[in-house]
Amino acid sequence: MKGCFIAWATDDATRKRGGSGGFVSAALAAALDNNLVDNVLVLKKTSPYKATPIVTNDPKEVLECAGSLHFVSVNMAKYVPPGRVALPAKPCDAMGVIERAKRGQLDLDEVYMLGLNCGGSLHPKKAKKMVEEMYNLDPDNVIGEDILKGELILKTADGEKALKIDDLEEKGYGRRESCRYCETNIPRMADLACGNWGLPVDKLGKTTFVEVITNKGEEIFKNAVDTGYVEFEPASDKAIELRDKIDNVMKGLAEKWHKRLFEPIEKLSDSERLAFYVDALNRCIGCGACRKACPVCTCGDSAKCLIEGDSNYKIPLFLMVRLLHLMDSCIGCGRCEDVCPAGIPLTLIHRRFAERMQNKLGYVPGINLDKPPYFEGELREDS
Amino acid sequence: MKEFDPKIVAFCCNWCSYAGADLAGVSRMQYPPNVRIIKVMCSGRIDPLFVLMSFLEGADAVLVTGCHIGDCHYIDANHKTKNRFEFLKEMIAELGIGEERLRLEWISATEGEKFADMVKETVEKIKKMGPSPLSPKVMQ
Amino acid sequence: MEEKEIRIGVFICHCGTNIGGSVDVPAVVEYAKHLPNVVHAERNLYTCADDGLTAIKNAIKQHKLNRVIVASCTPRTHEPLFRSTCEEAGLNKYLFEFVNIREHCSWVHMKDTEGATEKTKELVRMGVARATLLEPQEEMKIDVEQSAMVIGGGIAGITAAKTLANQGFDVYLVEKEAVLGGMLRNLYRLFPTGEDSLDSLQPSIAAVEGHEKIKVFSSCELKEVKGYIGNFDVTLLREGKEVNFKVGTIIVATGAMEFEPKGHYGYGKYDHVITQMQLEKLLKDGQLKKSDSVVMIQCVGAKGEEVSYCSRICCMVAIKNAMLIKEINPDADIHILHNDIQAYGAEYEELYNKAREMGIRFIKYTPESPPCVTMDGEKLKVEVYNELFGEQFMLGTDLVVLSTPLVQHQGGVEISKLLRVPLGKDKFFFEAHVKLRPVDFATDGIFLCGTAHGPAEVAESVSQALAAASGAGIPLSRGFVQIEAISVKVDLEACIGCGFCVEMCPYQALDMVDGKLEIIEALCKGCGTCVATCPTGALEQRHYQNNQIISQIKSIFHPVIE
Repeated sequence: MKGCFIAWATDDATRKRGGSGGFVSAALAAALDNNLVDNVLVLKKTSPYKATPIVTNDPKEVLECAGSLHFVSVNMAKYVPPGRVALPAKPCDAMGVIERAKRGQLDLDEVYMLGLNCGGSLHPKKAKKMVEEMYNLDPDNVIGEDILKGELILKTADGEKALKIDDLEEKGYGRRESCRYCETNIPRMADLACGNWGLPVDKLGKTTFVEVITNKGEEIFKNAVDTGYVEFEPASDKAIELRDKIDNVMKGLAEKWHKRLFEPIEKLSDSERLAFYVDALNRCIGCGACRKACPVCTCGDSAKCLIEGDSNYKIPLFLMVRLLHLMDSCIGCGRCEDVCPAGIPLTLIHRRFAERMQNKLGYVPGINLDKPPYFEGELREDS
Repeated sequence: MKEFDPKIVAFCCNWCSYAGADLAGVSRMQYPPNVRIIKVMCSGRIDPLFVLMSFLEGADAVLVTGCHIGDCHYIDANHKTKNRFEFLKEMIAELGIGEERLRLEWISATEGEKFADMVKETVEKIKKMGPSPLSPKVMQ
Repeated sequence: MEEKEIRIGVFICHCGTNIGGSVDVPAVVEYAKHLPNVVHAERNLYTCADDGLTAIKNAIKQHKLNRVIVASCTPRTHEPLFRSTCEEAGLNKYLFEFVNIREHCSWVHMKDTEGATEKTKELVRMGVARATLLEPQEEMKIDVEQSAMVIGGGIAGITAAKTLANQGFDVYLVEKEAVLGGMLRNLYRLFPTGEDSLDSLQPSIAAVEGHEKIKVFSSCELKEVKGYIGNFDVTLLREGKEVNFKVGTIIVATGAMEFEPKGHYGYGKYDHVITQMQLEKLLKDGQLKKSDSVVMIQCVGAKGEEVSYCSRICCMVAIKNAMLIKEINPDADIHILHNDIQAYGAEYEELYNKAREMGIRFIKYTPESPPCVTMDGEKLKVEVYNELFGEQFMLGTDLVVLSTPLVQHQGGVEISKLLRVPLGKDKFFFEAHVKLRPVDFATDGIFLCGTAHGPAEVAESVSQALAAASGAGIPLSRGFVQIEAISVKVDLEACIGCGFCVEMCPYQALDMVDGKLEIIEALCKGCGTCVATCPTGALEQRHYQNNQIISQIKSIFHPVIE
């Protein structure tokens, strides 16, 4: 039963807590309940700005974690435990999981990814500031948030307040930079792709649009239905069309952002570009946070990027080697930039190098188990 | 002021390009003394990290050399050299230090002349380009 | 590894004037003395000579050296010598470091003493940096298959096979033709003795075919050779079927062929323009009819665009055949048009003189105005500008014989690919060292002899064959080979088990077993490709460690002494 469906959690509480029908939480709980997986990896929300990845085998705990999280920027890939496991996965989580599978860190056959459509997330620190400055609200009073039709809606006990995301981003707030130009909104590399795009107005907030992509996805979906956690109906052609339309709008927007962010670098002369890289990368204090946060990096404490260079290098060897090793494998998740205490626009820079190589080789990381070209043994004739 | 004297690092494989450099010597082919050869058994051993490090240390050019495709002493290990070199090439291009500073050349044990010519050409070209802007000695 | 003070000794070789002539060696010695960890530095007129080697051994004892650096020629020739010198003095041979300041420095910067000296200092500095980090290694011993394969059943191959078999080793002699004998089978009488080629060939063929230690595979094609010295796996094709066997060493004796002078001097157009090889056949069969006047033209296709080299033997072939015609027909009028006669050695010089005494005329032409062959009625007409006389000669003749060079054949090119041994600029097989290792390939365990290596006459081919057989017999009689300790090793704690290295290995020496990397050391040939790809420091190559190479790079840019 591959294809598109509209589904919802049968349990009222879950449906209410969930951002859009509670399907994902219900299906995860069902998978645990029926022993389809040993564990579930979810984010446990402690505030709208903070969530911790937890591994649990308790369906109840999974259901308690239902709800959307836009102000958190965690990549789940690094937290996937061994064994059979299910997790909700934004596109960059799913891509991270696949890249880690390529590197022998996990067995993809045992990982069930319930993909989440994603239009981007906000950095928690920036989000708090935005709530204060733009919404004139006390960040601690916010109880929930949603993104609908280009607006970011904040919910407080007193009601809702919506502002246009475009306006927020013009003022320097809004989504993380890497999300703005990310063109992968529907995680088709996952087993399911879930979200609210395409839902008819009357079903918004109450149901989930689910695309069943893989056999594993089918397993999860069927299990959720068979165990009574979930009910569903087929998605209408109109709904499918609408979802694609939204996806395309988001892609168009991403393209614009891409142009806007990358064109200034594109326009630089060779020496200006080098100066830009040297200025930015030389701010590195060598803390290694980017490496630890990077979902693709699996190298551990003996990574080659940790080989010591010299303090007089204009660009730290550490970053040079990371740029090299990520040229084919960077998935653009933005985590490196999130965590950099020196404020280096790391993701932007990584993407510059990676796009060059990925475009040249026609290689897209994180979508299938194809080997990274850096490790290819056969001569690439085209090059 | 002293004339700019480029420093060039050449990685040579034991079987072909190193022997090619030997033959250039045996044949008394004269070339400028700017190149420093580092011998590895196979060009496949040349970790791109070595090349990046050479540039960061101050190399004005780096030459990656090995046996011709099809002649590799280790069956096809130089295919990997070639593939990895593409990464370096793109990296150097993106960094904006001048793509001509990095060169891949297949040199057989009988191509002493090719080795000498490669060094001569590179030294000439780099003298025109000036020191590598990535060199710690060069102020920006 | 236990922490031990590093004590490096540096020996800088003058190599007579080869290095000393363009490098200020004393200055380099002074420089070396001040490099870190160097406790002794000296210079030698010839470090590779007896007193140089003794100096190394003495210094190891006297200065308690635990690293030795020789800065002289290329490691490709003398490294084994210096390594064994170190071993004799009780130093592990992997603690020896070779710095090439001759081929890579003094010989290529002969007119730039200052530049060459500065470069030498840096090369020594790089050597010191690397030597500091060198580690002792143990070599693995591998058993050698007690047999050899000889490729090619001409006089060289036959001789090599017979020699190895007589030493008691099993020999597989592989020939693509149906019969043994090679090029010699088609020749008539041989210079300088004049004996019939078959007289010397037949007994050898019989000896080989009847030898209990020799298996002859005629009409066979070599399909695949895998493995390495001591353990080559050979696959032949015989009548479309595969034949497999194992050998310890291989001798390449694939021969050469006569260059076909298509389009030269009316060859292919006029019936009576033939090659020396065709003339040999006519003489052999007693079919040479009209020979009252004969013109031979030398260097056809050679020393020019098609074949750049001098084929060496064709002058003597022409002289010999001219004399043979004279024997049959003493009145024959014979001209040899040449572009310098190659008659090296006393015997050949004598033959050349005798030919002239017999009335054979030699006319030197210049490559700029080569002879011209046309048809004048029934007769061939050869016009040639006689350089000595400074005038144009017109020769009417019954027969024009073209002396063409020996060239590599397609089969040889294919064998070179199959064995991964190089061909030189002239397309002949390329030896490991032109003077010191003339019958070896750089690849251990593979040797060459005969015209596969370049034009040679029978005596030369035979002596090369004897040399190659002796070389190929050494590892066989020893029974084992020591494999250079340059294989890779893995630090399993650092290994993340990504497994990307497994497919990088050209020899399937790496394998993932239950998520853990295993290395089959006997299969590892030490290319180090896996090490370069490993995203971590888990894989290391012995003697070519990451830190050793990095130290070389760094030392280029870090003058320790100002």
